[in-house]
Amino acid sequence: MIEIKNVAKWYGGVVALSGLTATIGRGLTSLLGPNGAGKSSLIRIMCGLTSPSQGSVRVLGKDPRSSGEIRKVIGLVPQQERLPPGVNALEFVAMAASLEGMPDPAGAARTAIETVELDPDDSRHLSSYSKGMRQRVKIAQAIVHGPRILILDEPLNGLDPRQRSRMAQLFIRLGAEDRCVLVSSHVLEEVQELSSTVLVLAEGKLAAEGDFHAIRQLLDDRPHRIRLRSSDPLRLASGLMGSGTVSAVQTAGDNAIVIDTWTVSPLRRRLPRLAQELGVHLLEVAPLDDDLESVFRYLVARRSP
Amino acid sequence: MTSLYRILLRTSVTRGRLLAFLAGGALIDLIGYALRVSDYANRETDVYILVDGAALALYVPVVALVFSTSSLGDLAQDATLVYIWLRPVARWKVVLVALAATLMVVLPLTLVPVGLAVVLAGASSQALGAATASTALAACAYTAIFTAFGLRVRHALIFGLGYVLIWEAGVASIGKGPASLSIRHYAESLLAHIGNQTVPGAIEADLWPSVIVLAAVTVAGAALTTILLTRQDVA
Repeated sequence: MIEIKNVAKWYGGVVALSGLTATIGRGLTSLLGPNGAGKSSLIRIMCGLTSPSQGSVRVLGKDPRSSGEIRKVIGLVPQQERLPPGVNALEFVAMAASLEGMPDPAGAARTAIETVELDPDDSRHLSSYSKGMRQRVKIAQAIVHGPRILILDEPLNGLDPRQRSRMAQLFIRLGAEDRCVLVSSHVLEEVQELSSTVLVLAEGKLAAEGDFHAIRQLLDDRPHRIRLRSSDPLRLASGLMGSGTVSAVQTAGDNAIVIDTWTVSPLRRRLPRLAQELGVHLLEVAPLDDDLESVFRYLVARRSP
Repeated sequence: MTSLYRILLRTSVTRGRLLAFLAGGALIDLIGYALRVSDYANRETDVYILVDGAALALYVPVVALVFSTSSLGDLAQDATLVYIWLRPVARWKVVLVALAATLMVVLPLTLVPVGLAVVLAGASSQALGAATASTALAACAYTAIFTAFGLRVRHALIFGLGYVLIWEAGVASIGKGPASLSIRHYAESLLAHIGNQTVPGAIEADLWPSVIVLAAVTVAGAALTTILLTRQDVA
């Protein structure tokens, strides 16, 4: 339903996207990447809110920037929190329904607001809503016309765990209804909950794609760097090299060594026993590259020629 | 489109803005009343000076500037324009609704105090007609131009004030060349022709060219806003 071909986007000297090619079909797809990876830029291009600097995007075969028809089938939850001032949820969502040409805008708005578990009769202005409530109003305005393509930019931000789970269930349900639902997130656990097809974006490039389990495997099967502080670092280093669970060891001062391993799970099991056998006291075990940023960096480097 | 109209109206109309401009309008009325109670021989001429110097040069453009730049401009600045832009509605319709919502505020806020000032000054009905027509057409032209300006320019209010105070109220009164690029010039020409009265300090254009230019500026402003809305990137 969405074809992205060699898309690049730069703002002045800053490259947001670079040579991105992907296809997004029916069902639920997650767009995973750290902040600044280019997710929002890609979403804006897919919705026609801006043009790519290079390459092309086709939504249902049409250019979303110039085609008015595409705007009829897209629903977007933008990332920004701001909503128009001086209006309540029903007025705001009813405006969306009315501009979509729905025959009963107020009725459609009520249904959409109830779908996201808000009260359509709440007369308070949106400015008085909590972040989570505003987020759900944004989802309501995006689904009010039952779009074939629903694009949600970090829609679970600001929601409490219960709301997050309910909204994730809603996205899964919508994705199962023969629509294209794209959910962006920088949180791996959110994507896990959606258990969908995943596109991983990092540094403006497509770092990986596949179903969530394949991506999870990819994230686990990477070299890990761990700092070990112990009572006898040299003895421990020698023992680890002999165990076959590490690929490199270097001393790091302060009774510490830094090890590289491709087999983090076997190492996790072997390390305490090995330390005991060697009579070495382990003082600290600290992963050095377990944050998502470094995981994404690794995926990009792995994919680069 | 009614819901869009209501939302655009609420975006630009705030209590603070209304109170500030009601106070500004009341000041013009106060000056008008002062003209009546003063024992002047040239009361009628002074009324024209008041309408030209206070209303057409300052009050009308500033009211139009504040409400016009905030209608679509504020939505673009705070990234809420996307909620309108992404809907399958022709851009020109959005612009017309935005202009209608702005004029719904600007016209009463300008026509009522200006007309009232003329009445309070005890001027002729011809002066009232001239003030009303020139104010209305000037308000429409300023509204259309400043709506486009607000959509395109960051800090449009500051730059717009600079334009009103430096160009419209200052440079445009130097000679015919700069005056021909000033909305106020055509509005005060209209005031003078309909009122059949010389407006002191005004560089006059003919009646119909003034009407046509003010109408053309309004249409051009609306067209420019439509083009900008179609082409610009939306956050």
